[in-house]
Formats: sequence, C-alpha cells, structure tokens
Amino acid sequence: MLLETKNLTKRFGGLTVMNNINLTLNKGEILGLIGPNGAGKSTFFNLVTGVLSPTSGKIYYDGKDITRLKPHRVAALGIGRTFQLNPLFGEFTVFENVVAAHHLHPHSSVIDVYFNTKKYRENEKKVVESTEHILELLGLSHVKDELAKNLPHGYQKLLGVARAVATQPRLLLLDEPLGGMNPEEIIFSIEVISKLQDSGMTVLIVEHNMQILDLCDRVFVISFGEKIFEGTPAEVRNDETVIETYFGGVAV
Amino acid sequence: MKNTKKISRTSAAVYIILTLFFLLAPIFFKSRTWLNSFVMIFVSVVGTTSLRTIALSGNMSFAHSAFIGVGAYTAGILGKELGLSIFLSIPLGALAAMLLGLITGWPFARLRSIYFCMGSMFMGVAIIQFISAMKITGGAIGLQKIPSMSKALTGLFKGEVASAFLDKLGLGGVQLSYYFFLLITLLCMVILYRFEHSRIGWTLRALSQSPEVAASIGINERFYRQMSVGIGTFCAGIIGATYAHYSTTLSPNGYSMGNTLWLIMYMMIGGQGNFIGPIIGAILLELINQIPSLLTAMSGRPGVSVEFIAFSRFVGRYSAYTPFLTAVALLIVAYIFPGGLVSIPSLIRESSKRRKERKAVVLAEGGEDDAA
Repeated sequence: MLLETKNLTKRFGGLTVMNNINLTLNKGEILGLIGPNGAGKSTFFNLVTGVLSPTSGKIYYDGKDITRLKPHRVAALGIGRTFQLNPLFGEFTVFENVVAAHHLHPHSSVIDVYFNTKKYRENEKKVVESTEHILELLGLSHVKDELAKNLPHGYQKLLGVARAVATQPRLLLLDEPLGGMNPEEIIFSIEVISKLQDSGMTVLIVEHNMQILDLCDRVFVISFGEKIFEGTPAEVRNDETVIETYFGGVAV
Repeated sequence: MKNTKKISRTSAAVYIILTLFFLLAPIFFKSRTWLNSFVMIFVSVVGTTSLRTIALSGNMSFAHSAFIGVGAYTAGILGKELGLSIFLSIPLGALAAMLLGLITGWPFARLRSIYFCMGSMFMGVAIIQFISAMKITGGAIGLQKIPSMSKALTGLFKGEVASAFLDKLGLGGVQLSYYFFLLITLLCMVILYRFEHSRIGWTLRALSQSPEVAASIGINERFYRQMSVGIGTFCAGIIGATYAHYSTTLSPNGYSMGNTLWLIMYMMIGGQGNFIGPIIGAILLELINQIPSLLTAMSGRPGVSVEFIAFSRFVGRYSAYTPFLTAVALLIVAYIFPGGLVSIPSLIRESSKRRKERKAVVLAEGGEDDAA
C-alpha cells in the first residue's frame, strides 16, 4: 500500500467537505477519483499534499504518517502533483519550467549552487538531460523555448504533468489532466499516463472525463464528501447509485 | 537556461566603465565634497541592489533603510564604546543587521503582497524609534564621535617608506577611505550578483511567480525567502557600517522609511527586471540629489563668478522639488520605458529592427504591385 487515508475529514466552518474517507492506493496502480463538482476531489488532493490540514483523520504514505506535513516536505517524500487551474511559472520558458522542477533531484546544496562547484555543474548536466527526456515524453520538445504563459491550453496542462514528473515522484496526483483538451490531446495524454504507470509510478487521477475510466485499475467515487462507491471501472458503469448521483440517472 | 546565460556585452561594458570611473575618480575630483557625493552614491547603489535581492521573491521590504541604520549604529557604537577596530566593527555591524533581518524575517516569510509591505514598513519605523529612544545611540540628536575610518586606514601604513609611498600616489586619508568604500561596494555587488545569477536567484523568481507551484516541486518557501533577506540585510548592514566610520556622525533621520522609499524609486526608475537596473537608477538619481550640495560647495571656492553663486542658490532653493521631479520621472518611465531606464538600448534596437522590417515589407509589396 502506497497511500492510505484513515477517517479523513475536513470541515470549513459548518460545511463538511470530506467525511470519513478511507482510501487506499496500491503500489503501481492507477486509481480514478471521480465525483460531481464540489464532491471534494480537489480538497482530497490538497489534504494529501499538505496544502490543507484535515480536521481529523490520518494520512499514511508508504507506512509513514504525513498528516499535516508542509507541501514542500510532501513533495520531497516523492508525491508529485498537478493543479486543476494549472498555475505555471508563466515568465519562464517551457524548458525552464521543467528545469526548475528538478529542485529536489539531483540534489545540489546551496553552497554547491552559490560557488558553482564541480558537483553542481555535473548535476546541471543531468538536469538538462532529464529535462529533454521529459519534454520528449510529453511531446513538448518543439515548444521548449516558448514562454509558458503563451502556450495553448492543452500544452499548458501537459507542462503541468511534465513539471510533476520532474520531481521524480513515486506517487503522482493528477487534478483533471484532461480538462479543456481536444480529442487528440486526450488520446495522447492517456497514452502518456499509461507510460508513466509502466515506468513504475502510482497514479491518482481526479477527472470528469469518462474516457479516463478505461485507464484506471480501480475507481473511487465520492459525492458531497462521502464515499459512494469503490470498484472496477466495469462495476462503476453498472452501479445504480453512481449512475443516479453522477451520470444523472442515464447509464453510459 | 537563464542562470547559465552569458552576461550581455552591453552590461559587461557598463560594469567595466563604471568600475573604472569610480577607481579613477579621485584623480579628477580632488575635493572632499565630490568624494562625499560618490560615497552617498555607493550607499544608494548597495542599498538599492540589496533591496532588489529581497524583492526577487516577490516581496518588497519597506524596512531596508532601517537595516542600513542597524549596521551603521552597531558599528558606530562598537567602535566608539568598545574601541573595536573598523575591521571588526564593520563585519559585526553587517552581522547584526543580518541577524535582525533573519529574526524579523522569520514570521514575515509567510506574508505576501500588502501584508508584507505593511508589516515591514512598521518594523522599519519601530527600529528607528528604538534607535531614537535609546541613550547609547545618542537618541534623536544622533551618534557622534565615531572612530574615523581615515585614521584607521592611514594607521595601516606606518613607517616612513609606506607614508612616502602614499604621498607619492597622492593618497590622503580621504582618498584611502574612498577606496575602502569602493572595495566594500564592489564586494557587495559580487556577492549579490552571484546570488541572483545562480540557481538560487532563479528559484526565488519561481517562488515569486507561483508559491503554490514552487511548494509542489519541493521548494521550501521560508528557507529561500530567509536566504534572500539574510543576504540583502547583510549587504545593507555592511554598507551602513562602512558609512558610520566614514562620516563619524549618524542621525536616525537618515534611515527612516522615507529613505527606503527613495531606494524603491531608484530601483523602479532604473529598471527592476535585471541586476544593472537599480545600479543605474541609484547612480543617476543620487547624483541629481547631490547636485545642490555640490553646487553650494563649489560656489564657496575663491574666484567663482557671481552668476554661478546665484545659480547655485537658485538650484538650492528649488531642490525641495526633487521628489516631485522624481515622481514625474517615474511616470515617464512607466509610460515610455516600462522596463526602466536600462531597457532603453534594447527598445531602440527593437524599434530600428521593426522599422527595417516595415521597409522590407513595403518594398516587397511595391514589387508585387509592379508585377501585377
């Protein structure tokens, strides 16, 4: 088990946005976290990555308690993430965005960086190689010198994934990676995500687009902060509660 | 990559010309008034550049002059009360400013935009009020009789041979102090330049664009903000401490918030986008600020014409309008060169390129018309 939450609960004032969620994520699998708008999916990501702290409950990563750890510490443990609204380093080029995301690996101490030591220069060479490799993987090589803010939306989403991959995560949290993408980009992104799984990453995806179901090993459905279903993609398609709350009563 | 990009030929040339100018200045400007003005420029250059280092992470500190003051007062008091040599009191002054910067910066590291501005502003005001209220600092009247740098520096060249050597070069105490000041200034510039152009400066820039993304890739926001505050206040402190031993008197007014506002103005007019901007801004605008006192000093010399004296009086009377003129300058910069004064060369280059392109298009279109 790579990630486990125990009775995870989050309240904002009187509003319970996450109620007693027990979610487990096995090593190497892709888990789809789905649910209607306002179900608490992004809140779940923010709780796991330490952006928000839970009202009660615990989060374990690889057997370690990571509840209330600061976001940068969570990233250092090997949890990479993307954001739904996809903020970027807009004034940096695509290449620079991914270079910046190599902050953790390979590690250079501040002293090495400041004095430009041999170790730092060797690390920088590795960073450039790794950046080129990641851009290649995500199909961004041809726009690497563009400013991130000038990219079309689909590319910006892919850049978000590239940045998360550059932190060399074992667990990748993708917040609506297909949002706003055109059909071709969706097919490409699904390919990329399954390649990432093949390379050994565990992936948790929040998504509205039902094409993602084909990619998932398991699906976890929440609505108004409550778990309503957990099972295989095939089961989800036939479950009446899910169809009722999520698909509005019409089977897909 | 930005951090490995070679420094542009124009800015390298400007750095060399400026360094040479200030190295050779004592040969052409022999009077103490001119050297004093240059020293004021050094303080402004280091103050502005180190302020910008703190601002790299996206937060503007309004307490920066107060930290220059902390460095100055610490060195001054250590020299005066404990009789420490300037080679000890100056580094200690810098360390004191840095320590205070780091301690006060700790709770502030989580604040952004207006919260950081207001917080640092009141911090700066509070520091100056403490200095004005204390006895050991001389209170509102100021600290006097600080051991002078020129004595300490000439003391280094004891013996007949050494002093004969100095005489031959025409280096008195004033010139030695000037060169010491220049050395400290260049040292600060090298420290700050390296900081910004290493990956650290780059990380700070990333942080200023999106703190949430920065955290998600493992950047420790507090650590990096504290690092920029530490190095910025260290340089502020060391230049303040050097100034204390140069001028031998200090007054709390010299480090009030108004002075920070000037530093910010220098930075914005010069250009905030790159390292050279605040240097150019500080040199030009501080020089303008110094004009009235330079003119007054010059008109005091024997054999000066009546017209010159009248002119210097006129300028002196209207020097109260400097803030107004500076605000006008800022407006002009904001409308015409949003990148600051240093962006003028690249703007000219671009516009001439565009003109050439337009010409080429017109020619090409003309050609097509003929063909048709």
